[in-house]
This record gives sequence, C-alpha cells and structure tokens, in this order.
Amino acid sequence: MTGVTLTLRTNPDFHLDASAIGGSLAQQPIAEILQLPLPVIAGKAALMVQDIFDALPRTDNRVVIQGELSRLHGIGNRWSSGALLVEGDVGDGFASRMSGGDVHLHGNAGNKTAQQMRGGILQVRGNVGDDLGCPLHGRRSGFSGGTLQVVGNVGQYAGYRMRRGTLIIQGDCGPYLGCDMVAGTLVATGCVGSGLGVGMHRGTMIVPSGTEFSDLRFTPPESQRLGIASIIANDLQARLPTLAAALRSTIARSLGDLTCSGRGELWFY
Amino acid sequence: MTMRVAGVPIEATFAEAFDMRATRVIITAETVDWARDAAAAMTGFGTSVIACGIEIAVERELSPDETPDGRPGMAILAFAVSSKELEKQIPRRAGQCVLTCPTTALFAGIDSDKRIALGKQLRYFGDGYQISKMINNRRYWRIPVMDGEFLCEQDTGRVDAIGGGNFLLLGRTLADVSVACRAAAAAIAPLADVITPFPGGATRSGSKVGSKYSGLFASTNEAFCPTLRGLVAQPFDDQVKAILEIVIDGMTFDSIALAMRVGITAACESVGTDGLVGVTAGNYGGKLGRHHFHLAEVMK
Repeated sequence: MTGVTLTLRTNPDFHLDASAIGGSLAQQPIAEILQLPLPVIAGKAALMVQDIFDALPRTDNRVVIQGELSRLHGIGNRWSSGALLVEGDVGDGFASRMSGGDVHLHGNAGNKTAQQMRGGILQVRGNVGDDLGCPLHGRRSGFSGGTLQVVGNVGQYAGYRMRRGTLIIQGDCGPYLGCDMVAGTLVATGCVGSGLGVGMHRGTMIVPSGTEFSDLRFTPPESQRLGIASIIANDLQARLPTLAAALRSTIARSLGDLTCSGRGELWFY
Repeated sequence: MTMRVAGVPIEATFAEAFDMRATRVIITAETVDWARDAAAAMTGFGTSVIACGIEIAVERELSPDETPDGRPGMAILAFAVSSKELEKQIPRRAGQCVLTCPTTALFAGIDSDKRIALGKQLRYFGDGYQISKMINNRRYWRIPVMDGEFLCEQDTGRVDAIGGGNFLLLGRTLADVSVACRAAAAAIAPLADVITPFPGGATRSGSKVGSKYSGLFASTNEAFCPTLRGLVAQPFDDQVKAILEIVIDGMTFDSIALAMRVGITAACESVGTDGLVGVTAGNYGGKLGRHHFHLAEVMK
C-alpha cells in the first residue's frame, strides 16, 4: 500500500486510547485505518479515526500523523514495521511495545514513552515525561531492544529495568536514571539527576565526567581503555560523533550497584 | 598445442579439489606485532586436514580502518572436512592462542546462518565476571584478564568452501624450484578468500591416498619423487630434479582459479625455462573430488 497522512481535524475534549494507531498500520489500507476505534479513556464511548482525522494518501510508504495529539495516548503502540512520523505533541504510552520499524516524533511525549520497547528505531525530537522505556505493569523488563533516542529532556526513572538495546538521552535527565538496570547501553549527554544507577545489576551507563553518583553504591572511577568502547563508539558514530571520539580513548569506569552485588558499569567520558 | 607461460609448458591436466567447510575470524591487537603473534600461534600446526584437523592460515593483514575496533588486525581462514571438526578446532585454538595473547580481541570475519562458537565457549574463562554486550544484534563477550579485558564476539559464520586446489612446479634444480615456489606464494598472498596453508605456501611431501602400512591414511607419492627414478614409474623425464607443490584452499571456485593463475604465472616468470621443466597438477583421476581445475582453462 501507499502511505497515509492523518491530520487531526478537531482536538477532542477528552482523552482517547489511540493504541489502535499502531501495530502494522503501515500495511493497512486507508479505508481500514479510518475505521479504527479510539475509545474514550474512563468512558464508554468510542470514536473512530475518521471522526477526528482527515486522511490523505501519500506517494511514499510512510504513515504521517499531524496535530496537537496530547490527548491521544498509545499512538505507535506495538509498532512493528514501516516508518511512522508524528508531528505534534503526543500523550502517554507513545510507541509502547514497539518491536520494529522506524518511528520519529517531532514534538513532546508524555509518560511511559516506549514502555517495554523491544526493537526498531525510535527518535523523539522533543521532551519526554517520566518512566521512559519502563516495563509494563507487572513485567520484569523494560526497554529490551532497538535504539531509542531522545533529543530533549526526560523525567524521572528513565531506563528503569532496561534490559537490552541502546537508549540515548541528549537533554537533561530527572532522578533515578537507569534505576534497577539489568543490561544494555544507556547514554546521557546532559545533566543527570540524583539516584543515578540505584539498584543497577548489569549494563553500561555512559554519562559526562563530573556526573554525581553514590560512592557507597559504585567503586571509585578508574581510568581504563576498553575494546568494547570502540564497538559502542562505532554504533554511536552517526548520532553522537563527539562522544564516539571520546569513547575511543580512555574513559573512567565505576562498577556497581555494590549494595545489591550489581556488576553494572558507569562510564564517565 | 601445449600451453606455455614464459616458455614453461603447462601440462594439459587438472587439479582435483574437495568440498570443505570454512570460516574466517579477525584478530586485532594494540600493535600489529601482537596481532601477528596471535595469528601465528592460532595458525600453527594447521597445514593439512590429514593430521592437523584443519587447514588454517593468515588470509591477509588488515589496516585499522578495516577492523571492527579500529586496531591493526589479521584475517584468518580455516578449512575442515566437516563442520564438527571446525567447531572443535576454532574455539580450542582461539582459547589457547588468542585469549592468551596480550591486547588481542577476536571477531567474526564472515556472516552466515551457520555459526561456529567463539566467545560462546570462551566466556566461561571469565568465571562469572564476564560481561555480555549486545550491539546491533551482535553479541560480544568481555572477559576480564590481566591486561584489561579480552573482547570476543559470540560466534562467527561457517560457509561451504573448497580445499585442495593445487599445482606442481617441476624444477631443474632444488634451488630453481624453490625460487619459483616463493614467487608463486608471494603472488598469491595478497589475494582475498584463499590461503596456502603449508609452510611458506608450499609442500614437498605430495601424498597419495593410503599406504602399505595399515595405520596411515596417506603416504609419499613415489611417482613424484625424483630420487626413485628408475625404481618406480614416473610421469616426467630426467630433467626434473625437484618438485614442489602449492596447495590452495579457497572460499569459492573462482578465488582458487584466480590464485592458481596468479601463482603459476609468477612461478614461470621468476625462473623461466632455465629453472622449470613444466607445471602440472595433482588429481586422483577425477574420482574423489568434484571440483576440477583444468590448467588450460585456469590459465586463459
């Protein structure tokens, strides 16, 4: 099929569950997309996409969604293939359970963005609320694969119980970054709040030198040159060339969280 | 009409080669010397599947911009008659020869769905302190060692390949054929996808299948031993005083054919008819190996 541009016609007065605008939407015909349900959160009514969006076919294969979408929650839910571009602010749960494809958000996102994401590439050119990449309720693992890049700031508990993949935050981070991290690579290039790496089991967090951390929880930083840093640098080269260059030389490394026998590592560049 | 290169006659025969399984690994190190040392250790005792298990040699040196971690490196090709043997030999050699060598790292050198373990086995040396890292769908193992960390990719690919491409240089003297042989090996060395696993790229102990002694798979090919002239039937005249063989393993038929052409040309041009009586190739009548490299076609 060809792509589609969905433009928000009217900003709803109530919050909608827009998780139907996700999955394999890129493979669906426009007529089907227009019939997708948008249930009112905490209500009995349900709208359809056609009730609030205008749809126009595109010459490329992308799905583009435009408008002030902050009352629509769950856009990009279970996104699995194809390209999605969202232009405007979105609500909570953006790109939750994403497993593949290429998703770009030119705007801000609410809480629980990319919760339990496990594949694909997600880039947010804006700020994000709390619990970026967190697990779904009752699940053990959060962000579990793919590449997630936030150009702006993020709230608290970003990367909570992260298990795999690469999470890049270029703005400032709230408290408890990488809390209970299980594995994966988390890069933060801005200021980092308190509680860095609390409960960290394994994984790698790369933060600017001078970032505060608890010396009860982590070993004193030691200068090291690691082979794996060059491999990670290759992966980050296109997005963060300055950081990539720094990783190819010596870094300072701390291990922890010692209070839970963790073997995670903080790299200071 | 007999084909000639630099006046040296090329016999109208063929080299007979066999299906093999192959892999490539990349060793990197802080300096090219350490990379060479590790490669030399890993490729030691790897001339022939007859007794070494695998045929293994350096394919070529890699510059820092050709390696995954931006350090000097060596590409190594290994061939075996069975996947099982390759799966046994590669982790063993990697563990004893690369893991042990200061500053080295080990990476996959070829992609394939079929895999040979590297770090997947070696990680246990870390005794629980090893760290796994998944980057771009490739898993790496970081094993703490006395000079820092040994970085090793989880596994490498395994592909079907061909072993046993060959040609024989019939010399007027041992000195002449030795010079020709060195020239051939040097010409083949820069080529991708092939190795010449014997010492210096050449062997003097051309063999036949079987032996009068029951325990041996292979024994000297008396038909090609000049010192037995008059005692056994030989396919060349008395001008031939020494013979050396170049054996080539390659990833594809074309890569071996190219190596044979380049090697034969270099050998003939190095000493001409003053040094070589002719060039021939080894085969078993075409009954054992399904890959036949006819010299006339290879040299076209």
